[in-house]
This record gives sequence, C-alpha cells and structure tokens, in this order.
Amino acid sequence: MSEQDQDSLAEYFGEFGDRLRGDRWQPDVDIYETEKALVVRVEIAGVRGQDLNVRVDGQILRIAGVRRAPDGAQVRRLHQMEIASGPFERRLRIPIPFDRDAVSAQIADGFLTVTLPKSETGPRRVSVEV
Amino acid sequence: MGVLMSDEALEIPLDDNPSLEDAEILIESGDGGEPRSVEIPEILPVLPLKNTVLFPFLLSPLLVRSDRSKLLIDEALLTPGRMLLCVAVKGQAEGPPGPDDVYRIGTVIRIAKMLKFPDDSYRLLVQGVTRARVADFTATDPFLRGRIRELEETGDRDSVETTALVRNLSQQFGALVAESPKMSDDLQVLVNSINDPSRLADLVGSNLDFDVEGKQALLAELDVPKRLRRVLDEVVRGREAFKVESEIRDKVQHDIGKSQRDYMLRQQLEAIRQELGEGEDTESELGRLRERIDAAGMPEEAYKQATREFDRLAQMPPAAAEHSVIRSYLEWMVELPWAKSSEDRLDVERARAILDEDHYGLEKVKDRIVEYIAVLSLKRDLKGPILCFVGPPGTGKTSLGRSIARALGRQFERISLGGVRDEAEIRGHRRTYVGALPGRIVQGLRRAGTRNPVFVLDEVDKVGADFRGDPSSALLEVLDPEQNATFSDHYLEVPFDLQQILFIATANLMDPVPAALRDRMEVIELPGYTEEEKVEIAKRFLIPRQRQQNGLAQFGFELSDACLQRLIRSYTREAGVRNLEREIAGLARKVARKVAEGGVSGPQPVGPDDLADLLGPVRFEPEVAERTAMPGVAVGLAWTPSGGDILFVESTRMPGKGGLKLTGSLGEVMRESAEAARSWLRTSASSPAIEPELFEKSDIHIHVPAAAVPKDGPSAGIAMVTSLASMLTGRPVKPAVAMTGEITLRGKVLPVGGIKEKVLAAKRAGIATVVLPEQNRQDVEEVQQELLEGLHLEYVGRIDEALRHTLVEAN
Repeated sequence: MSEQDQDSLAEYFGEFGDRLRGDRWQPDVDIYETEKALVVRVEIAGVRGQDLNVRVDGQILRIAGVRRAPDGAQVRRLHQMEIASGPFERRLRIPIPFDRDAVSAQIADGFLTVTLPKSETGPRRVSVEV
Repeated sequence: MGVLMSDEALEIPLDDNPSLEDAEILIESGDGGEPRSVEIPEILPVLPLKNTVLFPFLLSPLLVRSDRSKLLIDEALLTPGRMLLCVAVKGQAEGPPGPDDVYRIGTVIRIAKMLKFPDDSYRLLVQGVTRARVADFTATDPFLRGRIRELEETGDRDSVETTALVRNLSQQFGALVAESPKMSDDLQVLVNSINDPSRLADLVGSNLDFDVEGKQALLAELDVPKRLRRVLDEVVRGREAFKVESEIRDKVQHDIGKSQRDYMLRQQLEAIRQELGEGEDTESELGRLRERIDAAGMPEEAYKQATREFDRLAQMPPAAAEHSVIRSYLEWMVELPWAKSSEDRLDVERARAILDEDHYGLEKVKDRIVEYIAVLSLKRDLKGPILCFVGPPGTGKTSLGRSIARALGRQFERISLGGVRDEAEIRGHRRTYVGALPGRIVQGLRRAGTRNPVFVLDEVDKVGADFRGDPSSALLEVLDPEQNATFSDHYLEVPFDLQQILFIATANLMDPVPAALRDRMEVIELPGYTEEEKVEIAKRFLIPRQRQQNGLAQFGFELSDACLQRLIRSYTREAGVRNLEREIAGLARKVARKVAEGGVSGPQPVGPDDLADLLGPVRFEPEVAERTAMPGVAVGLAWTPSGGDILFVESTRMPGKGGLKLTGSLGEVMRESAEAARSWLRTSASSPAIEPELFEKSDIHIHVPAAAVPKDGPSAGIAMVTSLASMLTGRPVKPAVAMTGEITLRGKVLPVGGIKEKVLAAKRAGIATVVLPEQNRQDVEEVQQELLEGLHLEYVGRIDEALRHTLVEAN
C-alpha cells in the first residue's frame, strides 16, 4: 500500500484522535453488537498477557500494551519488515450504555476480545449528597 | 457525605487463553502454478454510486448514508471476502436507482475498513479488485443484487506501442503534476512506482478531471493501449488548458496591476495639479486648442496637418514624452498669422510726410518707398519688394525700415542676421530634434501677428557660413519672390506664404553678400551724410531726443550751428551720425550736471568755444596740409564700410639696385598698382622728366599708413604715381589736393567706385581740390550740388593730366 493511500486512510479513519498519533502502531479493531453485549475484537497477535492493559474510563475503552520485537541481537540482515511492534494504545468510544462492572476480556488465537454487556439503565449517574 | 461511585478507571482482568497451542503447520511445496488469489462470488450485492466511478486496485473512501446501502454493506461485511460490485448511476436519477438507472459495467471492490459514525453514516475504505459486468439483476429488494461476469482486459500489454504509451503518459502526467498546484507531488512518485499499463491508466485517469461519463468510458475500455491513449490525450489537453489558464491569469494580473498603477499615479498627479492651482483638465484644454485650430484660418494643407497632429495628441496620455512636443507644435501653428493681415494705409502724401518727419534727406530711398505705396494703391495684390539698404553704420537704415512700417500702417519686425551661421536659424529645426523651434522668419511672424509686416533683415552681409550649412541659401528661398509664396519651415512642415511681407535687408557692404542673394534684392545705397545734413539731423532729431532723455526739456538745451559744425568736424569722423549723437549726449549730460548742481537756470546754449571745456581737446585735426608739405606724400581717397576716408601715400628712395618695397598692409591689387605706377613713370614719363639712373641706383619704398589697417584696391593708382613723381622730381604735391583713380601702363586713368563717399570724405578732411577720373563724372552728378559746395573737382583722363593738377609747378 502506498504512502498516499495510507495518508488518505489516516485522514479518513482519523476521526478518533488516537488514530492520528504517528509515534506508535495501532492494532486493527472490530466492534460489533450481539444480542446481549457489545464485542470489541482487537488484533494483537504476539502480545503477551502481562504486556496488555485494558481499562474502562467512562464511555472510553482503553487498550494499551507492548508487542516485543524479535531479539535484535540475533538479526544479521533484514529482508522484509512489516509487522509493527512496540507500545500501542487505542481509545475506543463505546456508543451504547453498558454494564461497567460486568466487562470481561480474554485473549485467544492472537485476538483480544472484550465483552461489554448491555445495560438497560443507561450510564450510571453520580449522585452527590450535601 | 456523598459517595463517589464511578469515575475511577476500571482495570479489566484478562483471561489469557491461547487456544491453539503449538499446532504443527504443514509446509506445502508449490508447483509453480499461480494460485487464484481471490474467489469472486457469482452473485454480489450491487451498490449504485452517484457521481463516482471506482477503478480496480485503487483505494477509495466511500460515504454511505441510505439505509438500503447500509444494509447492503452490513451483508457484504459479513460475507467472506467482503466484496460487492460498485456501479455508477446514469445521469441524475431521483430516488433509489433501479437496474435501468445504472451502468452495467462496474468495479468489484473489497471493503478494507468500515467505521460507523455517531450520525449513523458509514465511512468505508474500499479497494478495487477487478472490472466486472452485471449479467443480470437477481434482486432489487432490499437492495440490488446481480449475477457478475468478471471482465478480461484485452490488448497487447507488452507491445512497443504500449511501452511507449506508458512512458509518455508517465512523463506527461509528471509534468502536469509539477505544473498544477491542485495535485500533490506524491502522485508523481506513485505513478513512477506502477509498472502495469492497466493500473497506470486507471490511476492517472482517476486523478483527472473527467466527468462521470468520461470515467465510465475509461472503466468500460477493456483494450489497455486504447485506454492509455485516451488518458494520455486527456493529460495533454489538461496541460494545455492549464497553460492557457495560467497565461490568462498572469495577463489579467499584469493588466490589472498596470492599470491600477496608472490610475493611482493619475489621481496623484491630479491632486498635485489642484494643489498648485493648475487644475485644468486636459479635455477642455484640448477642446480649446481644437477651437483655435479651426479659428486660425489655415490653408488647407496646414489645416490637415494640424488636425492630424491634434488627433494624435488627443489619443496620447499627457505623460507621454511626445505630448508636449505635439502641443507646442500646435501652439505654434495656431499662433501664426495665417489669415491675419493689417490694412495698408495707401495715402502717398501722408507716407511722404511720415518719412520726412522721421528722416532728413535720403531722397532716393523715400522716393522708392512712395513709389511702392503708389503702385500698391493701384494694384492690391502686389508682391512685396525686397529692398536692401546699403550704407555705413549710423546712416539710419534700420530706423528707415521702422519709418516705412509706420507710413504703411504695418507691423514692424526686425531680426538680426549678424553672426547667424546655421541654416536652421532661418528655416528652423525638424521636430525630431529635442527643443526644436521654427526659424527666425516664422518666429518674427508670430511676434508681428500679421502676415504682411515690414520685415527688416539686419546685417545681411554678416551672415556666416560653415559646415552647418549656409544660411544665405536659406535666405534665398525667403527673399525670392518666385519661391517665398511657399516658404517651408522645417519645424512647421507646411508652406507659409511670405509674399505679403515687405522685406528690407540692410548691409554695410554689398561685397560679402552672395551674388545670388544680391540678385534678388533691390539695392538702395545710403552713402552717408554731409556736414550740412548732419547739422540738420542733429537739430531736428538728435538734440531734441537728447534733451528729452536727459531731462533738459524745460531748461532748453541748444547747440548753435557753429558749435555743431565744430563738433562734427573736430570730434567725429564718420559717415553716419551715431558718434555725433553720442557726443551730443555727452554734452547734454554735462549741462544736466551743471543744472543739477544749481546756480544755472534758463536756456543753456552751448557755443563752439565751450566744446573744449565740456568734451576735452579736439580729437580730429585737419592734417592734410601739414603732412603733404614734403615731396613724396600724396593724398588718396579710400572707400570704407563706414563711409569714405582719406589716406596718405608716402614714398622715399635710398641707394640700392632698383628694388621696390611696399609696406602698409597692402593687398595684392594695391601692390600691383604700385608696380604699375613705377613702371609707367620709368617708361613713359616725359613731362616730369626723371633721371633713369634714379631707378637703377636706388631702392624705392612706398608706405601707406596706417600700417595696421589692411587696404586693397586699384583706386590709389593716381595717388601712387603722384607720390612717386613728387619724390623723384622733388616737386611737392599741391596742398589740399586729393585724388582717386585707377591707372594703366599706357597712362590712362580708369573710373573707380564709391565716388560719393570719397568726395564727402575729402570734404570732411578739408580738401579743396579732388582729382577724379573723367569717367566718374556721372557719379558726381548724382550727388546733390549743395554737398559739393566749396569743393573743386578736376576730371582727368590721363596720368600726365593728373600730375599737372597735383604737383606744384617746377620752378
């Protein structure tokens, strides 16, 4: 894919601020709804569990981590380098109300799957007593 | 106390569950066959696109809003391969397009990315896969669906033609990208990286300004070389259009810049003008000039020329360099008296009265003027004569011209030609020269304001000539009555009629005037005044004038006749009256001083005895008697530009061998006449017998003072003979005898010129007897008799006769 295509891609899918960051790679994400939950699938092959951090911050789902590059010391000559590595972070705005306490995440087959159960009540409100 | 519940970020614990652990993967060894990369389903959803044609292999963003299309996208995204067929909508169809509203040929695309926006629209990034054709639509609801036939491209991709087209297209497109500000330079890099002819054509085509139909045609063109050619044509056309466009833009910018600048400068100029109080707008100025051109009464040729120049002027910005040139030309043209002339007063008696009033004597000149006026009164279209007054300075030539103008009631105009050396002074400079002006004739006419003035050309004998041209030849045209009706000044470029002008030239001498010019003029001599005339002139004109000028009118400043005579005789020696007037002015000033110092009142007559007190000792003494007392001195008569004069011829001898020495700045002719005198004496003289040895044993020296004044001419011949004879015989010359005449070797006396001046000069010098050639008798008769009073004239035909009258009798 050419540089120009990447530009227009970034431009096009750059409505979310985090995608404009050029200093780190970004795993591809699918987001879809099932009957009971919203499912976020992230392509993070090669990222170990301890290097991955998933947080819910209001309506924002933040996924950050590090993909380790192959040990540089053993490399003698390069031929093709396409797989991005290093730290990454994605902040995804969740478009529907969900049950914050029931969010679960698991890694399988190189995918991180975050399941956000739908909530009927809408986002919880904070009530403040005086 | 409130409880904060949820704003803290929540860590989600990970369930790390790698399900495929260490599965062994079989490595297949390929057989070299090209694996089919994408399997395109036989039936695909068909997405109609408005105003958009997608091409294979190119990534394009798409925006999808309608529910129909979103349904379609949803289905496609859940199908393996995520493919669908995009087709362009024909024209501007309203509502959801049906099968007949879309082109059949479209592009199979794969959805690379999809993103739903908060407003529920879909943004897609799609990539073209291949050209395809809808064989038939299998469904129209909820969206179009059709049976797809993949299209194979045709044409030879490896032919020379295709290669050339590819190279050319790549080059031309690169140039277009460089020229156009609208296209990113990255496109150039991208194009260079593509080797496949079909993909190149598609990429370039998609970036050009095709309309939907054009792009659709490009998409439907399966023959690759043809498609390349089509795109190349468009690129070249695009470059051409861009060039024209930028040329127009540049020109417009330039034009605007220039006209704005001009406008601003003009505004400023106008402001400055108004500030200076010169705020006259050009329009009305031009209009006035035009009126003056019409009113000037120019002849047709001049009018045409003036109109032509005016039209040029009107179209010229005032700042143009030529503007002022044309303007001043037109100013000259309108100010010339093309049609204006003054009415002549053709009253003969009145004219005569005026001439007499202004000048004493000069009968011949006055007669000529009166004759002219008489003829003019009979024949109105008379060509002006060209008169030439020749005479010594101070004889009233110029003032006579003024008087003639007064008598005729004409304007008087005078130019001095003394020292004029350039033809252009007469005829003007061509307008191509910076600061060009018309010649003096035209300038004089403008000053005069009429076309028939009395025009005095002063000092016509002092016109010079050098490499710049000969002004006298230009004068020829002015003065020749045959030519001067169409006198053409270089500046005016159109002829002006000079025939109504009464030209009067003046000169001190006729000799330097070129023969051709002399030939065209009627020469009238003003030979100078006698003592009696001078007395009259002084009494009538000079004394009253000086009285006036020195403020002595009421005191009465008078000079007696005797006093005037002495003044003329002893304090001036001239043919005219200029010095006389100067002396009278000197006297008047002395008297004025006396009056001003007080103590004097009443009339102040000045007598002859007062002159020595007032003007100092006598300046000119009659010296003839004294100087001719010795043998060998004879008095000759000379003619000079300032009238006649006397000259002494001295001779002496010394022991020697028969040489002849001549001194006193003598010219060739005079030296020869001295030789002739000696030869005649040596050979033919019998009456005053001369010893022949005298010639052999002595050197003779003839000297003519004053030595510094150059002299020439044959008229001193008799004086030379007389001087030599007197010296050689020892018989002195009779006192108070003067002589003139040319001699021949045979002893004849030939006539000479300037008799009147010479006779008057002799009289002035106190000579009693003048010896003249017999043949000059007629000339003398022209001299008024009263001038000759007291003079004894002897006419001689031969030298011996002359010697009898000049030498004292031998005792």
